[in-house]
Parts: sequence; structure tokens; C-alpha cells
Amino acid sequence: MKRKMLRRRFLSTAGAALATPMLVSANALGLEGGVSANDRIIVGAIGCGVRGSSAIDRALRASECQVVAVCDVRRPRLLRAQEKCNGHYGRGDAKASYKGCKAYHEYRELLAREDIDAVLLTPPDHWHGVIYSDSIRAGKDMYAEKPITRTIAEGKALRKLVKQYGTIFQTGTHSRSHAWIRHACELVRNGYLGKIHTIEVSVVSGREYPTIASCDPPEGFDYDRWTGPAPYIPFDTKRCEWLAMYMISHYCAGFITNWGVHYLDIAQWGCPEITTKPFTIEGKGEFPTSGMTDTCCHWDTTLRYKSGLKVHFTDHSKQPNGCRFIGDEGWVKVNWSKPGFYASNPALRDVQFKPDDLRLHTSPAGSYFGHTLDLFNSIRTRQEPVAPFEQGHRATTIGNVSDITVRLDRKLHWDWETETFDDDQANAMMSRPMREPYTI
Amino acid sequence: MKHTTISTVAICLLASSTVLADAPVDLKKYEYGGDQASLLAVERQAEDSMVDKAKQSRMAAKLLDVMTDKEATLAAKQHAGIMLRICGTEAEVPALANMLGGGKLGEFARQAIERIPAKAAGKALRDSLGKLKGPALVAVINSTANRHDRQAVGALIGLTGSGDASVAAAAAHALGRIGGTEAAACLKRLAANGKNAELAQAYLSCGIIAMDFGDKTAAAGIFDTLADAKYPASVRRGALPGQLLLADDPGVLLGKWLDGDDPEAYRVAADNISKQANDWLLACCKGKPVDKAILFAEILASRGEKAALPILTEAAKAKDNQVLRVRGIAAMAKVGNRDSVSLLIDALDEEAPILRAAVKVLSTMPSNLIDKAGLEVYKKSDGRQRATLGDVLVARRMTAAVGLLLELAKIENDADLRADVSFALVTLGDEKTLPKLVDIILAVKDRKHCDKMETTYLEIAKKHENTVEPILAAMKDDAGTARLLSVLGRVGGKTALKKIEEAVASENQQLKAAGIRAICNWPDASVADQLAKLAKEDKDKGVRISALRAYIRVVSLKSDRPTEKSLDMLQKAFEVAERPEEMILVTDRVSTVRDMKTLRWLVALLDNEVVAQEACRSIVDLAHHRYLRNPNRDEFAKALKKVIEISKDTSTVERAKGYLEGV
Repeated sequence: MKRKMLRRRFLSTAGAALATPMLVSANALGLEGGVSANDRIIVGAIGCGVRGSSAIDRALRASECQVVAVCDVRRPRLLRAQEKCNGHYGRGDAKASYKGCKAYHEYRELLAREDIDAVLLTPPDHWHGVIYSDSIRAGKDMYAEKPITRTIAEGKALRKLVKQYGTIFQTGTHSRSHAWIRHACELVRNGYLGKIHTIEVSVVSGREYPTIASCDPPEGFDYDRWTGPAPYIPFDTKRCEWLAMYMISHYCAGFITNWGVHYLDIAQWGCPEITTKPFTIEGKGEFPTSGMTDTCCHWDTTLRYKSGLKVHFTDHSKQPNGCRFIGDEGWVKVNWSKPGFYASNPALRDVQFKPDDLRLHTSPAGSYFGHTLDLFNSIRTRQEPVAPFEQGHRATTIGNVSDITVRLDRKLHWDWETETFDDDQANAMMSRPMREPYTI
Repeated sequence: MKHTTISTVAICLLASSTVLADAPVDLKKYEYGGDQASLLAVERQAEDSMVDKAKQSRMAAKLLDVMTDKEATLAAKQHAGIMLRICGTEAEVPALANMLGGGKLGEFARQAIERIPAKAAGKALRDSLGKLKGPALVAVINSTANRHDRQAVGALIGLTGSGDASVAAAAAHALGRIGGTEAAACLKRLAANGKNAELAQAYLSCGIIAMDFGDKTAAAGIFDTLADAKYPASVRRGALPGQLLLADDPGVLLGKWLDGDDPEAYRVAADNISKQANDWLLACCKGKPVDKAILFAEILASRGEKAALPILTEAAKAKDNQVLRVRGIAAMAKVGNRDSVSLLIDALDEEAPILRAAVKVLSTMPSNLIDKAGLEVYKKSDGRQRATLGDVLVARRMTAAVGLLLELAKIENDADLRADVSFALVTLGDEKTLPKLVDIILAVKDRKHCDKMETTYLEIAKKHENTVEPILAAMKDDAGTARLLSVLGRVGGKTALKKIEEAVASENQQLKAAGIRAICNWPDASVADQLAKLAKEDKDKGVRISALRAYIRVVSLKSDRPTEKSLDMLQKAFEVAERPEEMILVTDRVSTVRDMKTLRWLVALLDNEVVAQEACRSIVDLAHHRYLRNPNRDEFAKALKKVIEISKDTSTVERAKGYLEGV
């Protein structure tokens, strides 16, 4: 316990490293370069699926941390992740100090470990509210997959906890760590496109999956625990899999939110007005009429602000993937494709910002891995990460607001101050009950 | 793909009373694993009914009818319960309340009641608190918390003494979420020994709620209690910031925590000093050794407070303390002066952490401090210092450096310098840089150097228009033309092509050879015909091979050409190939033509020993594309099985197996 307290004291502030210099090595600050074994951030991973494996891989590459625990309700995945961590640290310099990676079926057991400083959270969307809140209460800092929560109400509840506990909460919106996306947002923020009047946001369309027969879950898969707070529906081999689970509303709001968050977040990074000022929203959606999925496949929504700003948010059947800022002096568009940066004037790519221009948070490296390094920097410096909770929550909210709008098929008004609609039915759709015994 | 647009078709359909009547009836027959059409129709109707109270009541009644109909399947009843979460009304509460805790519908009834805003729903839940047991009771406890039902507090307090630990814990958690004086008093008592983190968390939650309601006195009492060291660290991490938020003078508390030996308090203090005013921070710096003062100086510096600079400078020069040096340097961006610049440039020769911090700061400091000094040093520097200074030039978009970079680009015998200069020029150069680069290309003797400068030209040219002009202007004689045809070919365009075609047709062998090289470097497929002609007809085998390889390359680049046409062109290339290398190249590149005809051709090639292995890889590459694979599952399955059978490459076999599962 004594050791733990001292180490956390170091981790908690950069200043602590200096206040207690006898406790840390010369590399302990860890902002740049190597970190001694004793001063690594100790990490646990909850979720070892497609997203979880990716998060673990990036953490393994980072010398700033050491992954000591993994958790999943699918045993084969869990064991693979455990093996990967043990294999990685079981060689080279780290071998001597590494005590092994422990595998957990129950995430609360992992959270109860006092030696773990931070967690990589990649459970399915319907679990986000429960696991994220438990992790905050356990005093952990975290990387948390987007969307922040399945519902707006859960996000509001999390905000209180994040604030109260001073949690370093990094959202999985890794676009912010890509240099060309930051550059585009800096152009917008500094008026290089003139006054922005339109933002076009488009993401991957939803999909339908045909219904398939129910059967028993495979050996080693705790389906009841996977279902968690969602309604229990008999198992079939598709519903828990990538991508079908994203299209079933018990587990996810659909790509309108799950994928929407990425480019909506870029939109707000360049133009904060969209998640700070009230707006009216209207739009149409197309939903499956058969099969096992029930979330929006195609949508076309428009958000209008008092200033005249318009955000046109659709799936990619209506406009090409990405986020385009259109101002009265030009436009710039970004997405994940190569080269990822498009502009009315190619010279905008090479704009040299003036010393007085506003610069946005820069991750240590311009990549997905840079996003991971940014998390560890934030944990050490206690400064906000590049993708903080609040922005993740607000981008998630726009996705959910859009979903509610197309489901109700009527014009709605959203107020960021109160985080409510001007419509009782819409407000009622901001939350979903949880199965027993789950609660936030 | 069968979709309904809610606003058009669905609304018309849903407005029809026939459909309203039929959908729940169809739903009654639904079995898990069956087609969900009836479920989805009911869901749309439930959402649509919310626009009109009468419609909502009718819909809710129909759903309850499904839940209570003996003929309806269990799956139907459960889905009706889920839909009642959306549109249930007071009228359904009594029937739903009767289901609470019972059988396979209890949980669905509970969730539906939880969402019904009527008082009767709250009462039904409260009434059931005294009747239910085990998980069903836990669920209802959670529902009362979700409804923030303060009328349930009395009953919940009673349940905290339950012999069922899960019930007691749920009741305590619910009290924390509901909050209020009574709940807080109960939780304070239960959490008093400081050993149970969950109880303490619930008590803390009462404090957060009290803050929300503006009851600062109650909140402060709770935070003060839980700040005590006997409570678990995770709880204290929530309570200490609350204490700070409510303190009359947070500075006093912060000072105490920073000077104390309580690690949790120190952590919270350090997290929060950035909220303090400059005066307070400056006062904290005074009299403290640099390793303690740096904490405050960093925040002051981030606000542009110049008074922090002496502390940062002292930290940056600290001996035997790399951490402190990095921190001192890293914080200088907004407050550094000319002396700081010298210190930062010297730091470029230091260990990596110090060097990187210095680069970052040099990249963001004001131009009047950096630009002149930076260029002076760049000119004289070498090795790592020059490379890192190059990073700084690029990060600062320092176009004033282009002249110097062009001078340095003339030096041929230094590969590192060449790489550094090219890297910086690519970012900083513009149209005006291009004629000077052409002069360098003409003048240099070293082939590698020339190639690097051509690449540099090409990278700059990509960002601008009319970029062949500087090259054409410099083609003053045959020797110069031959020299520049290569870069002209890489840039491309109609004007360039004309010039290159002239060279290919030339009697001058040097010019002709350069023209062929240029056309083989062409960036797109617009020269496919010329390349095909050379590949078939040229007398020189070397030319035929180069042209064929270039042809294969350009044809398989992304284009608007129909896939059938691309496939045909590549198949013809395969036919004229004289060597296995080109046959393999075609087999590799044909996977860019995503068409079922390509798959069929590749399957046929599996019998050709020369290209069979490459064909396996290309089939797997095609299988990667779901939109192609999914509608043609059977054909892909056959092809992938054959790949698994004959491929000698483990990763190809593994990928094939993966996609085979997908089909």
C-alpha cells in the first residue's frame, strides 16, 4: 500500500516527481523518451474484442505503461489478450519486472485492484454507462471508446462523476490526434475560411442483417453478462458480433451515433458553436422493415443555429464521408481516407499560422498511437487530454439527438444549457431502463 | 435491401388503422429467431404514437393486450413489454404491477412501469418494495432510484438492513442516487467505519446531489466527513474536490494540502492549482526551491506571465535532473526571450527528452525571437542538430528559409544533408522554388542526388498548377532536354506528354532513351496506348519489358474506366509478357480490378504453376471486399477453398480461412 501511494503521488502530478525526487528516476517524467519500470502507468483493459485488441496493441507499444490485467466475458478472446500481453512483456528488458497479466471475467474485480492506475474501456455501447461510471468511482483514469454512452441521460450522469473525481477521461475520438484534422480545425477557428455558414458531416451508413435462428451461446461466452443492462433476448450467432451489434438498438443507437461521433466531434472542434448554442433540428430516416436490426440505415438531418450556421448531417449515401467546413471565403474538408485533407484552395494545407492564432491541443504523435500517448501524458500532467469527456459527450449527444429526431420525424429544438428538447416525448427517449440488477 | 422512409411511406402506412390493428396481432405469433418484421412495425408505431395522447393510449392498450394474451408467444409478450417502455400510460400500470416479480415477464413489466411518468407508476413500484425478494426486489429498488423517488426513501432505509446483501447494497446505492437529508443521514451512519467503499460512495453521491440542489451546507458536511483519511482513496478523490469547491478560501486549503504528506490531498491540490489567480501562484513560488516552485511557474508561464521565466531558466539549467530540465524548457513557449532561444538551441545537442522539448518550444515561439537566429544556426549546424532544426523550420512553416535550403541543396556529397534539405523544401517550397530546383537538377552529377531533387520537385509540384513550365523553359538543348525528361514524365500532363512523345520519336538515341524512361514513369494511364505499342513493337527487349511493366502499373491505378476494360487490358498484358516476372506482376495487380470476372480469371490461373501462388494472394485480396464477396458467397467459397488447398503462404491461407468463415 505504501508503495502504491507513493507511486500514485508521482503519477498524479508532474510536480510530485519533483516534490519527491528521491522516489523517481531521471526519466520518470515520461513526457518524452523512456520510462523506468517502476514509474510506468499500470493499465487494465476491459473489453478484448475488435476495439479492445486495438487499444491493447497500442498500449503495448507505449513504454509509458504496462498492461497487467485484461477482462472480457468471452473466454477465448480473454485468453488471447492475456497471452498477447504476457508474450509482449515476457521478453527483453521488461521481462524481469513484469509480474504477468491477469485475466478477469468480472470487471469489478479488475477495478478493485489498487495497483491499476488507468483502464482501457472498450465494452459494447450498452455497457458504457455502467462500466465507465464504476471505473470513475474506482478512481481510475481512462481511455473510453466512443460513443460516451448509449443514451444522453447516461452521459449527463457520467459528467457529474468525471467532474467530481477529477478523472482523466480520454474519449476514443482519435481523429483529434491526426495532424491534418487538427490543421483543418485550426484554419476554421482562426477565420482562414471566413465566416463558417455550413458544415457538412457524413458518416458510414447503417446496415441490415437478416434474422437468424436462436441457439446456445458457444462455450466460454457468458452471454448473460454480455447482455448486461440490455434486455435479454435469446442468443444467436450474429447479434453480439461486429458489426451487427451496432445496428440493434438494445446495444447501440446505430451508426448515426456510434460512427457519427467521429466526424461530429471534428465539426465541434472546428466550430464549437454547434455544441454550445441551441439549435433546431429536423430530418428523415430510413429504418429496416425486416431482419434482426432496428437502427437507422440512412438519415438526412439539418441542424440550424440562430447565427445562420447550418449543419447538414447524413449517412454517406447522401454526401461523401467526412466533415466539410464551408465559409464565405472557402472550404476545407477532412476525412480518414488518404490524403484526408481537401480544400477550395490547396494552399490552405500549408498555411503558416501566425503567433497569435489559436492553436489546438497537439497529441505527441500524429496518429492513432499518438492518441494513446496523449492519454498517458494527460495522466502524468493531469491536463485535459486531446479528446476530453465533455466534447465526447456533446458529440455523442448530437448523434443521439439526430436519432431521436428521425425516429419521431418532427422538428425539435435542443437546448445545451438544460440538455433537453422542447418536446416531452423526445425527452422521454433520452434514457432507457436497464435490466436488473444494473444501474449507474 | 428493403427500407421504409418514416416520413413518407411509413407515415402513410402507420396512419392507416388497418396496420395499427394488424401489427400487434402479427406480433403475437413472433418467435425468437423468426423474421422481425412485425417487431419493427410495432416499434415504428410505438414511436409514432407518441405524437398524440389518444393514439399513444390505443397503442399502449394493444401492447398490453399482447402481454396478457394467452395465445401470444413469450417472445411477443416480452417485445410488447419493451415497447411499453416507450409508450406505456397510467392505464397499463395495474396490469403491469401484477406481473412484477413474476416469471418471465416481471422484468419487462418493471422496465415499462419505470418509464411511465404517472404517479401511479411510482406508487406501484413503492408498494412492491415490501412484497418482492431477491433480484426482482433489487430491480425495483433501482427503478425507484431511476425515478428519483423521494417518497421511497423510508422503505429503502428499511431495506438497507436486509439480510440479503445484494438488496441492502442496492438500497444504499439507490439512497445515494435519490439523496436528501434522510437518505444522507442513513448513509452517513452506515458508512461511518470507513471500510465499505460502496456505502461511502453512496454517501458521497448524496453530497453531489445536495450541491445540485444548492444545499451547500449539507454538501460541505458530507465532503468534510468523507475527506477523512479513514475512507477509501477512491471516495476521498471525490470528496476532496468537493471540499475545495465549497471552501471560503481555496488557496488556504491548497497550500495546506501541498505542504502536507497526504498523497490524495496533494493529488487533488495539484490538479486544482491551475484555477488559482496569478498573485496566489507568484506568492507560492517565493522562497521555494526550484524543484517545488516549478509547479506554479508552469501554470504562470502557460498564461504568459513573464515573472515565471527566471524559475523556468533555473530549472532548464538544473544539473543532474533531466525531469526538471524538461519541465523548465517545455514551459518556455509563451514567456521565453532571446537568451532562452540560445538555451533552447544548445539543448538540441542534448538527450532525447530535452531535445524534443526544445524542438516543441522553438516551433511555437514568436517569429521575431526565432527566425533570424534559427537560420544562422541551421547554416552552420550538422548532424542531429540540423535535422531537428529542420523540424523546427517545417513546424514553423518558415518560408524565409527556402533560399538557404536551395543553396544547401547544391551540395552533393552529403546524403544526410540531402534528406534534411529535401524534407524541409517539400513543405516550405512553392512555385517560385521550382525553377531553382530545375537548375539544381541540371547541374548535379550524382544520380541519387538528382533523383532526390526530382522527388522534391514532384512533391512541391503536387500542390501547385502549371508546374511543367519551369522544366520546359530549361530545355534549351538536347542534352538539357534529355536530362529533364525524367522529371517531366513524373509530373505528367498534356504538354509534358507532347514533349516526351517527340523525344521517343527522335533519332537522337540519348533523347529517345530518356523519352522512354519518362513515359515509363508517367503518373497515370493516359499513356497506356503508347506503352502498349512500345511493349509489343519496340525492337529492344529492354524497352519492351520496361514499357510493359509501366503499362501494368498505370492500368491498375485507380480510374473511372469500366472494370471489364481494365481486366481486358491486364489480360492482354499477361498474354504479351515474355518473362514470368511480368506475368506475376499482372496477377498481383489484377486484384485492384474488383469484379467477379477477375475472380474467375484468377481461379483459372491457379492451374498455372508460374503464377498460381500470386493468384492465391490476389483471390484473397478480392475476398477482402465484402460488397463483392457477400453477393457471391458460393463462388468465393469455392475459390477460397482451392486457395487453402494450394497456397504455400501461411498468412494467405489464414486470411482465406477467415474470409471463408465470412461467406
